[in-house]
This record gives sequence, C-alpha cells and structure tokens, in this order.
Amino acid sequence: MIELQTPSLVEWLVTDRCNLRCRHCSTWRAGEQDESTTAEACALADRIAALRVFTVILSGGEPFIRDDVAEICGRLSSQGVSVLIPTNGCLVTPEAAARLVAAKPSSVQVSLDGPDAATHDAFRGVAGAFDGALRAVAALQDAGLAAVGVSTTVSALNVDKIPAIIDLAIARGVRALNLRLCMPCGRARQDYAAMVLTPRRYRRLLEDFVRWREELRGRIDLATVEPLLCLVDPELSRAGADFEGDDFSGCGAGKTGCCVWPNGDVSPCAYTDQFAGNVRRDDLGEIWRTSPVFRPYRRYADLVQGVCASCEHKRICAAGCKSRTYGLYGTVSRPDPMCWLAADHERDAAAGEGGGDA
Amino acid sequence: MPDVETKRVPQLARNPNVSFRTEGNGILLVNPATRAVYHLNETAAAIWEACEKPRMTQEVVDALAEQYELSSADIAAILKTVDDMARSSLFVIQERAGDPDTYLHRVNTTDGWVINPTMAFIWGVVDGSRTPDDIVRALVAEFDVTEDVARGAVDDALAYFREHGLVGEGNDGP
Repeated sequence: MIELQTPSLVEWLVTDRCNLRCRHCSTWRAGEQDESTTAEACALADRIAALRVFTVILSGGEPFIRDDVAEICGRLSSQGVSVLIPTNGCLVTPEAAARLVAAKPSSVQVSLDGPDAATHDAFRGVAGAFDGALRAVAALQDAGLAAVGVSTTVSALNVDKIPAIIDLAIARGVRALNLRLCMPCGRARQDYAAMVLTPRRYRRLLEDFVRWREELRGRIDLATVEPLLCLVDPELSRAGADFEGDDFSGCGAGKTGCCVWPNGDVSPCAYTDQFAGNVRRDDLGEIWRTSPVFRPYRRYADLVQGVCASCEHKRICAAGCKSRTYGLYGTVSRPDPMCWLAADHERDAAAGEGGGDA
Repeated sequence: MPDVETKRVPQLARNPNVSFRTEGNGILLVNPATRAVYHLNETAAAIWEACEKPRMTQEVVDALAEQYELSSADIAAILKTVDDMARSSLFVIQERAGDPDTYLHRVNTTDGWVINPTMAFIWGVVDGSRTPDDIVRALVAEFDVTEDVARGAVDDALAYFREHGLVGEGNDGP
C-alpha cells in the first residue's frame, strides 16, 4: 500500500480555550495553552494549502473564542482548501457570522446535543448553551451560509432523543446533521459506563441511522464518519470497490489525516495524545512523512488482528476507530471497543474457556 | 420495443464536491460528504481523466480506446468501473445541456444509442401497426421535406434500428 505524501485532511485545534464546560470533555480544564499567534496560524494555513490538503476542520476548544478564526478560515479557503468549522455556537453573534461567511467556509456545524434546553445544557455544562446554539444557526443562515449543519455528540445521555433532535434541526431549516459518538477520552473516559454506548446500543444506533437517512432524504442530510457504519450500511459495503488501487477505507487517523494541536503538536487524531512532532519546530509535511508515530496507523496488517483478521468486513472497516481503541487499550492493534461482532466473539470465547456454564 | 426507454442524453460528470489530486502514479479522491478516501487504480484513473468534461459512457470508452487496445473484457471492466464509481458518488449523471438528441436505453443494461430528432420522430411512430409508407407520410406531415427525402430517412432509420435489434426483421414495428 502506498503512503500518502501529504494528509488529505487536517483537524486543526486552534485553541484549548472554551466558554462551555461540557460533561464529556476535559479541554476546558486545561486552560489557555501556548496557542498559535495569528501570524503563526496564517503561516501554517499557507503550508497546509501548499501540501494540497483537501479539508481542514478548524476546531478547538471553541474556535470562535479566537478573534481571528475568520481570518484563518479565509486564508485557507482562498487557497482552495475546504474549511469545516464545528462550534458550540454561543459566541456566534450576527457580526461574527457575517465575518465568517465572508471568509467562505465550506460548512459550519453547530453542536446540538438535545432537543431541549434541559438536555443540551446539562451536557454542555452551562445554562443558555441551547439558546446560544439555536441563535448561532439562525445567525449563520441570516448571513447567507447555505451549509449550516448541526452536530450531535451521541452519548448514553441523549441517544434516545436523536429523533427529536433531527426534528428540531429540520424545523430550524438545517440542511445537514452529523452524528458523532462520544469518545472514551477526557471526562468521558473517566465516566465511561455512564457516557459511552454499549456495543449493542451502538449497533442499533447505526441501524437506525441508515433507516433515518433514507426516510429523511431530501429533507435533511444525515451523516456520520463512524468507521463501523460499514457493518450495517449497504452503501458503504459497496464502496470497497474494485476501482481502488490502494485501499484507504476505514479510520483515517494517521493514514489520511492528522491533527494539529493549539501549541503546534501533531498527532494522528484529536483524540490521541501520541505526538509526532510540532509545527513550530518541524515542517508538517516532513512530520507526516517521517514520524514513526504514524506507522502503526498505516499498516493494515498491524491494525487488523485477532478476531478482525477473519472478519468479512475487514477490508472496508479496517478494525474501526483507532482513537477509541488507543484510548481504551493504549494500542491500535485491537478491535474497535464498540464493535459488537468483536464483543460477541470475546463473549463466546470467554464462555468456552469457562467450560460452557449456562 | 417494450424494454427500450427514451430519455435525454445522459452524461457522466465528476461530482463537483469531490476533491482530487495526483498521488504517486495514481489519483486520490475524497468525498467530503462521507470523508471516504479513494485511490484509483489505473482503469479508474483513466476514466476520471477522461471525464474532465461531462461525457457519455460510450464517449469514455472511445477516449480510452484511443489510448489502449481494448478487448471486449476490457470494455466490460470499464463499464463496471464507471458504474461502481457512480454508485460511490464520484460521478453524477446529468442530462446533456441544450441537446436536441434523444437517448434510447435498453432497460437494465448499459446498451444505449443516441439518435437525432428525425430518427427520434420515426422511433416514436414505429409501433408495429404502421408500414414504411405510413411512416414516410407521417414524416412529410411533420417536417417540411419531400417524400423522397423522407423515404431516405425512414429507410436509414429502420436499417439502423434493425441493425441494433431495436425492431424486428419481419415487422417494422418494435
């Protein structure tokens, strides 16, 4: 398999600072780090564009806490880079929305984790966050941005409320809704049982997602980048097609994408703390090509081990989300902890070792 | 013919939302909607290159035939690859803009034929009940042409339809 000479996607955490106190996240506890200056950020934007990166996710922390987020966005978009900005929305005033829309982001995704203030604000840790999110959606729409989406962090706390969240998004004229699973890191790692879905509930969520996506086609675009979606989605099953030379399916962490942290550190993903270098010291392209940190993420044989090696979905799935696996086990060479097939296999194996007791 | 439908000329067009770049000896594509990353094999890369502007599938095959010596198996592989790429949303199917031609498509196959407006009119009146003389009269009534010109057009069209199995040999109807 070839290795990409440059990443196709960079998630860029432009700040650690955040105005909310989300239940699943510990970033806000870190406080203000040594984040890039505007000049440093523009220089990095130029380098990212020169590396022919397709997409940059300008994330955080809360990106709108920086006064220059529109400037960074414009620096990228003017050089042909697609820019996606997730935000909690609370700082997106009409003026901020207008400045950002002028900088031509591809899309902005406002976090919406409940269909009502009680659910959303409890998760986001600050009263008024729900109203702030809805105001942001309206401000961005009023500023003329067509691609205003919402993003829902799915946890055990809100998984049963997703249909109501979708209804609310449609009622607010939102074109796209992205579901992303609460990751076992930060505070969610410490409160794992209460926050993270079981593999079986996760499977049901993905099956529901496929059904909702079809039922709602034309009203709202439902999306998710969950790597295990391929286990239940016939469209993705087809996508492992013969027209591919080298196969880049599965989780893109370290393989097709990487993350730049506020202080310039580079990791395979925003959810892993394995650092490959620092863009203040080293060139991003050089880090991508040479750092040994990325190696395990790119070697298919290393990723697809154990029960995954005999799985019929292994070519497309490639053992699922590597950050989840690394976050729980400290290695990427194990099955995704959310994989219900692997969980069933381990349960059966354990029952066999136990002598088959009922 | 019951298994042949008529429609506007369909073309393959690159999905405008898909980003791509050369990578090594191949082409790397990303569909931002799914963040799916594709590294195209040689055939798929040649198809992608051939579709710099929207093209009919047959035009893609013709373009590749100018570069490579294609067997029937190669052509079948190209058609399957085009279909796979369209299913993966790398291509979208669009109608050829401002085109007066009509496309005859054999349902559930990749067989298709582009015909001009005169042939499309003739196709529309070939229903198995009309004789060639009936069709000539219909053509004269529809267009400002002499009977001789109309008869030539009808003969050519019927020969074309027969050649491609679109009408029966013994019966000028489909």
